[in-house]
Amino acid sequence: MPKTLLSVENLSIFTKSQKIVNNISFSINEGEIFALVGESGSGKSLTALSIVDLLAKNLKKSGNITYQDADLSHSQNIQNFRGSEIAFIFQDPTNSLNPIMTIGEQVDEALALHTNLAKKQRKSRVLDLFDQVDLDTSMQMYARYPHQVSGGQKQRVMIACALAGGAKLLIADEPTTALDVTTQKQVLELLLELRKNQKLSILLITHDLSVVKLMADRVAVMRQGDIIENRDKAEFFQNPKEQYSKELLVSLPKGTRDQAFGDVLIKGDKVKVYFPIKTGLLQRTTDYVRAVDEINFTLKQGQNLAIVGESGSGKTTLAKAIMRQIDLFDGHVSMGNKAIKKYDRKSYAAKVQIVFQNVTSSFNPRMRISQTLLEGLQALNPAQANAAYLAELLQEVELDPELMHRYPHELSGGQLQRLSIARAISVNPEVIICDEPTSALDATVKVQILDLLLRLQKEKGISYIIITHDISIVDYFADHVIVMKQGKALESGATQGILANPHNDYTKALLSSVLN
Amino acid sequence: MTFIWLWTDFLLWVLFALSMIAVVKIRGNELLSQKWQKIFAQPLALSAFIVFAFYILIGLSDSIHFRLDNNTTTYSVLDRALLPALEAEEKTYSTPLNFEQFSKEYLDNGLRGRVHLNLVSAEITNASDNTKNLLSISANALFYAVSIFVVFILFLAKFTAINTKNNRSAFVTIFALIFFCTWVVLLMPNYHILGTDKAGIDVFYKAVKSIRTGMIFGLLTTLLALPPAIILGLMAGYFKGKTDDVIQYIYTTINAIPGILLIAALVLILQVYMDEHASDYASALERSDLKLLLLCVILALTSWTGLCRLIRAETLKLSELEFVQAAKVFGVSNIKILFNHLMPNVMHLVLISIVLDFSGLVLIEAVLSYVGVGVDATTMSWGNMINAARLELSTDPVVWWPLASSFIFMFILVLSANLFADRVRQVFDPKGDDNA
Repeated sequence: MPKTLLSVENLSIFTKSQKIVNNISFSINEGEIFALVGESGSGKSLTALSIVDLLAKNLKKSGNITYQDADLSHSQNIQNFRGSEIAFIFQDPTNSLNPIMTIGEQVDEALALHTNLAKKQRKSRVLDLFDQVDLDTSMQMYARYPHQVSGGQKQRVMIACALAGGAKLLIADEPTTALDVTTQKQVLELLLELRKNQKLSILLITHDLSVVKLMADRVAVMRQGDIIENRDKAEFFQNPKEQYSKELLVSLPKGTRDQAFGDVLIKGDKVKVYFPIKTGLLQRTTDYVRAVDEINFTLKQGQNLAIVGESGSGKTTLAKAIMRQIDLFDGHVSMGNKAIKKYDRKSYAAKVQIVFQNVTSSFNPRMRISQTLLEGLQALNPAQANAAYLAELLQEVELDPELMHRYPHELSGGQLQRLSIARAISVNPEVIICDEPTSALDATVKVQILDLLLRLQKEKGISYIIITHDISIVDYFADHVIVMKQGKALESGATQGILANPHNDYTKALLSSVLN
Repeated sequence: MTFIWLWTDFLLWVLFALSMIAVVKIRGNELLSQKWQKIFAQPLALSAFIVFAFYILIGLSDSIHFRLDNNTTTYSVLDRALLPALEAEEKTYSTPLNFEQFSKEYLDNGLRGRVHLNLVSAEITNASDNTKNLLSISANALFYAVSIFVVFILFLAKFTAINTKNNRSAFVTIFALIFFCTWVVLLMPNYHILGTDKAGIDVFYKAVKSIRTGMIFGLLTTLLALPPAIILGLMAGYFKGKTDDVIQYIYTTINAIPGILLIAALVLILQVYMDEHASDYASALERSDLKLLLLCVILALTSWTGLCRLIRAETLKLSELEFVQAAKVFGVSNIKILFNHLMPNVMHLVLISIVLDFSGLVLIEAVLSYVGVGVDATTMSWGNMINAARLELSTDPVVWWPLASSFIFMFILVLSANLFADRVRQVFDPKGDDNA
């Protein structure tokens, strides 16, 4: 029987007016990875923060938290445990590190706080810790500032800081969500290795079930402040009890696309988008940032084109170039027989529309939904700018027409994304560019949005250009894939072919990093 | 009776009308009216606002000027209300609520003594009589105040349900104001409430008249500074590139010139010009009014840059957001994007900076007048009162009441404005914690 390290009993968290976390209990054993799964707003992060007493001032908690034999329910006891026994790593490593201290100094700071080592000993200990988290153990690495290292390396530094105090329990709040897929896998593997070598217990908070599948020993599903299911991982994945857990586990079916397309709609030929780097007193252009470098693509009627790559690969810049929001440096993009430059602003807008990633900022917070939708229509298609047409549109995206009188903050992420699809289809475009349309949404909503897009494609013959870093979407949604890295197309071709038989090393890494 | 509209009168009433329109608009808008309800839900903010509104009321009543048919003097509504204090002429200093002059002189009977004040009833000849009289007037005032307050509550209860628990502090404030008013009304015909100054003019009258000057400084300057700040800030943040460069160049240049120096230079030029063209102005009142207005313009010229900078930064951030991009994709015109999408989203900055700047500007008026480049010497202002107090403080015994009066009046205005501003900032600032 393994020893219990942390136990939480009847934990509740309240604001003045409501209960956010509802009498939850769970326990974590030594050397165990315990995953707390749920969608945003389910209370999982608050639960984690309450363990180390980092809740915001307007929140109150009740219940018992016991670490080994110590009672952590009262804040005065916690200071002795924070950092030394219980460490915390956050979602975004960029914000967790101090930008004006070198990464070595930051790990050193944690050591100075929690150990009695002398300065010289600490330095070698820092490099030792760097070694444990697979960072380069040179003094150059020690002297680097956070902006000089990659996102994955920053998260490793955070883990090193956590280890510096000799923590036995690591609370990891979405530790890989801000990282690219290829780095994500490496960081997770590092955590697994540390668990094995150092008998570390980990409380893993995530919304990503593929991460859970790789990492966890036990899984608890949270929904609206309750733990609705708390079971062994294998059992959970084979046979989830609750309906909600089943919904979470539904994954996207594989390649079901048929291959019949119409004429070529948009064609890009050696598309280049360069941003000048200006230096010197006279601001002369000395070099260029090659954001998009000689990309060729074609999009046929009824076809879905996916542009895949990590952040910074130039995929969004390419989309902006197709939207004509950024000028081409060189190359040619044409629609029909005409270069897209030659269309006037309005007739082009009626043909090509866009759906954005960030649903909450896609709508002006000070305008009602109907005002936002009408404004676009008035600019492009004044004849249809009326409430009856709006109601029709909202029904088309499976929403209650009454919602158009609301303000954006009254709606959920999924509803807003449907509305931004409604806005895009309101002018009957031929092409819709979807920039990471589902990455800000919860897992259950993601499938619904993709299905909505596919249904609209069938009914209206729209073609999509989808920009994503999520390979599972590509498989389900796209007919043709372009893999981009640092502005260049590494590989391009039919989805089936590329996924089954990637040629490029980077593509292979990208595919193998998908955690399934 | 003929009405006389001074420039600042006109602008103040325009401002009042604009704010009334804003109130109607806010009531129609769910989001905004919720926010304002939240502001007034805090007892301190509500009390501060009531005091502030009382000041505004006095300022507005001092902004309706007219001339009686058989008279050459121009009065404001406030002047008529304070007529006893205005018309009672004493020779020189007297302390607050006293019955005789501050200093001794040779009387008609050849002895040295203190002259009895004109305003105070001749029957009061010693200090104990005076105290008795004051106490009886105060008791009367309290009686009237309580009756008026009760009537007010009953009247209010007819229209809305009164929750005394939540609004206790508001009622206390209202009662204090009512008591203050009745006390002033009863004392005014018989006493110089805050004494008299060197020329024998009632200090209370001067301090109350200064409210309008302070208000004009605080409100008109921001009003005049808003259009350039908003328009240039939005343009710089939205169009970027060359437009941004030019606008930034302008405001950094203005910022590089020391403010006081620029104001002093412009005021001196103005002074010379006005002296040379003295015949252009119908009366001294109009002349000093115009000088006040131009001072506000000069101050506005130097003070729009801060807000402009804030709005530029916010617009830079906003214009990258998806809803602006989406509007661009739909071919919505730049003007519409600027005014429909960007401006409403920076208005919280505008509001916060108006309320925060107000108190600062009232204080700047005092500083400028003290330095000698402020309002006309004939305009009653706290700055001028403080300036005069320089000499009074060096006399023995000290003549303290003119300085104390201007200090108290200014202090209450600035404090209430600051308390209210703080709450507005808390509620409208997206980073503010509105749980406080």
